[in-house]
Amino acid sequence: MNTAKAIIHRLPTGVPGMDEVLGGGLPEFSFNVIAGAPGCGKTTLAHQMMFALATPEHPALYFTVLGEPPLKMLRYQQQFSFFDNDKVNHAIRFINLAEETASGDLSRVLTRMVAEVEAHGPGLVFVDSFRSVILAGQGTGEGFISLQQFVQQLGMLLTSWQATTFLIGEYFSESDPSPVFTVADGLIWMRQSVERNSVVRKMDVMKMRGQPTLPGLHTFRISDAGVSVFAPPTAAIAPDKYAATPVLMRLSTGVPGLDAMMGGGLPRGYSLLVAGPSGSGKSILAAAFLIEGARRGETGVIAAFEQRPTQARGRAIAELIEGDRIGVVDTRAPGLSVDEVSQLVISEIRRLKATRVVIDSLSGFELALAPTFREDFRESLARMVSALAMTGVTVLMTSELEDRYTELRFSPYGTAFLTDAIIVQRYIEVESCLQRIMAVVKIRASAHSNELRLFHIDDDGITVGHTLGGYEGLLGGGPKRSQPDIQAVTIAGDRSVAGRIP
Amino acid sequence: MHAEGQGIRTMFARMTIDSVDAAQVAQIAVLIWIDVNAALAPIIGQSGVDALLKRSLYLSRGAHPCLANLWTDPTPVDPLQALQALLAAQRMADAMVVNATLLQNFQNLLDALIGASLTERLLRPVWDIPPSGNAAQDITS
Repeated sequence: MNTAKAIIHRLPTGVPGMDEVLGGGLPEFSFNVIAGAPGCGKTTLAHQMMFALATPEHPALYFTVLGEPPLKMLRYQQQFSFFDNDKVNHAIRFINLAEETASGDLSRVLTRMVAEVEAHGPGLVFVDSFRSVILAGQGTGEGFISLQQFVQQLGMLLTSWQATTFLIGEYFSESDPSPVFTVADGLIWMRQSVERNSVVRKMDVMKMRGQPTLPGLHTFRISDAGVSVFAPPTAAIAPDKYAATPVLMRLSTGVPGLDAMMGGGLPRGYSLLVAGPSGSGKSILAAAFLIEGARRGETGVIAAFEQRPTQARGRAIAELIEGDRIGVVDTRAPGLSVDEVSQLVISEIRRLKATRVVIDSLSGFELALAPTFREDFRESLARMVSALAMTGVTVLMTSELEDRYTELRFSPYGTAFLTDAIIVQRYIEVESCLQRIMAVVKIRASAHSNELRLFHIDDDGITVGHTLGGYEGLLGGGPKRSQPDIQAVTIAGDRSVAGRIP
Repeated sequence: MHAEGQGIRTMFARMTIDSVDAAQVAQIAVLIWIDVNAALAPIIGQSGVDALLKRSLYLSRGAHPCLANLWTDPTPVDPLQALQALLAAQRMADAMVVNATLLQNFQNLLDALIGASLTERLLRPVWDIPPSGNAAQDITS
């Protein structure tokens, strides 16, 4: 007995991120519905896939029904870069069904579609908008076929003609299942989510027979190039050769003295969190990390969430950006999601074959997100760190941390557990001067210094100094001289957790 | 914009060069309009083509007041029949100029709406294949 199963070929949609969300591409000969409210990008998505997939051998038929006038659709859709005039009337045929639809007789619509399908033998068929067909079919008298029959016959016809089909529909109600949904093999729902002043586009593959789609709402953006879907970053990455790099190869941080504190440098492939208050030198440390990489012939990527990214990072970084040794991820777009930033970072990593990545800072990152994504910041960040780890890069993230002398915290998000290594920077007051100290708090699976070291910043960057001998209670911000004398001089006033005099 | 020699107006001028009277010009004009309609109506719908033609008439009637009364009837007859009758009633040279202006405005309008490149693409069947009636007669004669 022949036990060979049917092989379903999966077509690449040509929409960035869409194939991952669909679970590997578009099943060939499937009968799909793209649903969503007006303006959410259904027609654009349909055109983008059509222009990517249509060939003279497997042409596309795009049936336009009542609704958006075809002239206007052509006018606006050709603004997208995927719209290739040369394919029109060649690999792609637009066919207007307004007359047949206006008659209200669905069998007439079906007859015309059958005739066109038989005439052109399309590999792809689009019906835009299908809601107009549904409305036209309502209130029809005796003798006409029902919507259900129409959809079933259309589905049967197009699948047997080996055409991959999309019915594009406006605001089908999720709570009122249409007969179209039952027949459809795939159901892609597009929506615009509004929260406060921010509007974010999201896509949901509610159904795609025979393949493991990525569940959840996936954000997408419409640009001049069309739709880009931001799949969860881990879905977009196959572990590559970098991931197999031995863990304990160490990278220099570019800060003299710090490598030694870390037991010889930051293990390659690790993620490092540098936490500290404003002005403590986190961005300078991050810059040193990238500059050191460049000095060793490595490339880097920076996602900066500062107010003035070009001015804040210094000349050396600016030159490396200019020379395309460091890629910059544009974080100014409104309504950003962590998944989108992850994808931008990962595509820059791939473009430059980068080995070092800086995210400066997590606090700015959170502010740049659309409100709807802020609640899930921690979870999304965990996904992003894990995805970056899969690419094999070494990541340095900074985190703004208000100095609190009553507790020892490393990040305001409880993100400290996400990273493999943590460096904390703090201000302390010594003899009426503000000093900076730095400590390596954690490096997974590696010995490291446990010292609190003074450091200072000048034109040459960060220089790590010695420990502050003879003092204790440094983490309290106001250290005291450690003398076995009850009369010890308090250097910086009494603080609640300042070191106790032994 | 289309290069000189590629436009639909140029094609019309070429086709009417041997015409002997306005009636013949009118007949050729209508054959071209039938082909334009055949190229566009399946794509943008009959109502889309009608709307473009009406707009072109409106834009052309400043230069050719004879077009002012065409297709103003609330229950219009076939607009191409009306156009043919109107052109046939002109002097031959006028008939050629009137229809050339109308074609040019139609093409300009389409250029402005969907771009010259796509217009050229959609109207290509009109000048790739000689107009229906004439071509058939030429081959069989």
